[in-house]
Amino acid sequence: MKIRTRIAFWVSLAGLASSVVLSLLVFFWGLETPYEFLDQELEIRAHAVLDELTRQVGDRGGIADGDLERFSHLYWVRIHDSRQQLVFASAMAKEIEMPQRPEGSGYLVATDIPLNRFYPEEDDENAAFWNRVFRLTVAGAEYRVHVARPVESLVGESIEMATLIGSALLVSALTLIAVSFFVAGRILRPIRKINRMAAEITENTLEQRIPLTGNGDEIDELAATLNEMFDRLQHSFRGQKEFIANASHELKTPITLLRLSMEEILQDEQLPPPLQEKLLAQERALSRISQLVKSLLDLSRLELTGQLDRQTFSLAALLLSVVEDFQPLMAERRLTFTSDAPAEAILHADREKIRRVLINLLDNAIRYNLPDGEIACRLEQQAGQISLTMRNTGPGIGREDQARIFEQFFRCERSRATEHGGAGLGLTIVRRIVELHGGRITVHSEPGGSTEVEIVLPDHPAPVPT
Amino acid sequence: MRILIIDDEPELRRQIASSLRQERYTVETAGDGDEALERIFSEPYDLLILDIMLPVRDGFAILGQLRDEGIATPVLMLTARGEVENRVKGLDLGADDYLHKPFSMAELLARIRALLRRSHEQANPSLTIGAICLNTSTRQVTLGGESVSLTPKEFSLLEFLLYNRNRAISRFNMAEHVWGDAFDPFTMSNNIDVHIKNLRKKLDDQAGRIIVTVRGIGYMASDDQA
Repeated sequence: MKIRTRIAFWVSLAGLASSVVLSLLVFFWGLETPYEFLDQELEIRAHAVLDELTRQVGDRGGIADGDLERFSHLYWVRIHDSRQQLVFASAMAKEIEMPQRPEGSGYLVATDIPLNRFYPEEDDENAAFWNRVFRLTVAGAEYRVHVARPVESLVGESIEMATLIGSALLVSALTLIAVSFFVAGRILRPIRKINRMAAEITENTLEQRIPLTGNGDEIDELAATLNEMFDRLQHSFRGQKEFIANASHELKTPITLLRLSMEEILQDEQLPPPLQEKLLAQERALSRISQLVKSLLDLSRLELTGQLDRQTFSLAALLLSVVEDFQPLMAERRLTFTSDAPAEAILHADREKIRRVLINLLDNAIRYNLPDGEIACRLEQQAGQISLTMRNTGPGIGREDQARIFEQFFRCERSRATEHGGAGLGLTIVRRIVELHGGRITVHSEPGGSTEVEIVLPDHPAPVPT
Repeated sequence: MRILIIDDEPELRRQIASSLRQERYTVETAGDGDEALERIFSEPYDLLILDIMLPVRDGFAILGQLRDEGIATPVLMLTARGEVENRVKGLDLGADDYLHKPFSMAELLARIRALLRRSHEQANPSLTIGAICLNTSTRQVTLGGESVSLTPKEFSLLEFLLYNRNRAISRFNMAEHVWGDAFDPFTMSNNIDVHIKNLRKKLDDQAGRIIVTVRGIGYMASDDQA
């Protein structure tokens, strides 16, 4: 599960759980409170009626029902004395029977009397009675006072309250999920950015860094740590590349000196033939080393600086001039060259480097071709890009080898390498140049069939002359 | 003939390079002193065109270093007008000639030809061997007074052989001088036999008496044909 979903899930869950607890508290408190008020009300009423009763008994020695009735209007009241004699019953109590429970907390008794008989403004739902029984002592005499009052059934009210709370919970849950998902996205946005940047930094763009926001939060710390890692990586990569450059450079001078003296010795016509043979073999080996070192140096120069000296030129014309240089060689090997270049293919690029690409590709196409084979070249200029395809009759490249042909020093069939020459750096150099131009290179080959190399270069706009 | 241009101004580099290529020279360029030294120490050049005003490592430093190492390749300095001191300093350090900026391309080409001749101890602008005459200024080849049409590479190959007359030149060496470092000299040295065959045909040298095959090594432009 994505972190964003996880954050949203847990935040919503925690929020929802606390809302549910709070709602339950409110709900039960809401159910209890009316009865507490009723309890108090009934207690006050019980005292008031009993006080009036004892006052009347004390003043007049009898009870005036009418007066007491005023005190107990809309209440159900029955008062018994200590001998269990009914002393007083209110008008309501004369008509309706209420079950009597021992004194203590209040209790609800449902009836089938419509509520609007007592409260005309109410509807005709059945009234319930909230009862309380008190044992009270006034002037030494003990009374049991049973008081009740009709109330509307609270079941409906509680259902209403439950629905309200439930829908409020639903709304808050939805809001929580939406807000937490949004906030999680906001928090994670810098991480996504860091991820994208880190993915963009490749071996060739190691100088790029993730921009810091400078607010010192954890994400900034992560970016800073990653940047330090890139520093170390870049340093070690650079060191490696510089080592290759320096080593090649240091090798070249002695190789050149060796070659010069070798050539000088070979000028001697008096050399005994066996010695000459050996020297010639040495010269060939030396030339191979020299070529290898030169290619290595070219490659590391491309890797280290990677500068492009762009100018505007026609790729078709450049191709033609390169092909011309190879023409005698192709004629000798009886290779047929066909070119399909309908457009001029104007390119704004590093002409010398692109020339190198064409030379290396054509060199390969000739070198790894069948006798009497063909080489077909196609140039296409589409919107925003120029593609160049070079196909030869091959003997084709094996499937596993295809992925590796751009690797340094890789050559298909090592045994053929000596026969064909080359350092195995040609395609590595080609790919590096194409990448420097923001293009891409692909190879399609069928083992035993033809091999096709395709280069796509973006149409880099020429600078506007100022 | 293979020439290296060392100048930090890309536009000038490009212009000189394209003019020299038209004259069928093999041209390579370097934009700074480090790259220049790297190339000079490892590639065989026939001439260097060196701008004195270079960033980081200037032309004098390059000149001093390569002469110290005993590399005698002729150097043509490019200086700004009026810098007498610089000119003297450059010549003392071992430059072979100098040219003021701005200069005309015609003058540059003439000085290049003169320097190449001088370095190969050729007083005459025409390189002659038997009935064949290669004029380094007009870039024309004649056979017994008749003009012969050669491809650019055939011309360069013949020019290189004639400048180095009576020396056996390996195919690899010829490939390096005639095609420069963009081409793989291994591939190109195979190409050389084809070019030599064509040259011999055009120059009526079927017997191989002018361009002699040196067994095992390569070819030689020989004066001492029968």
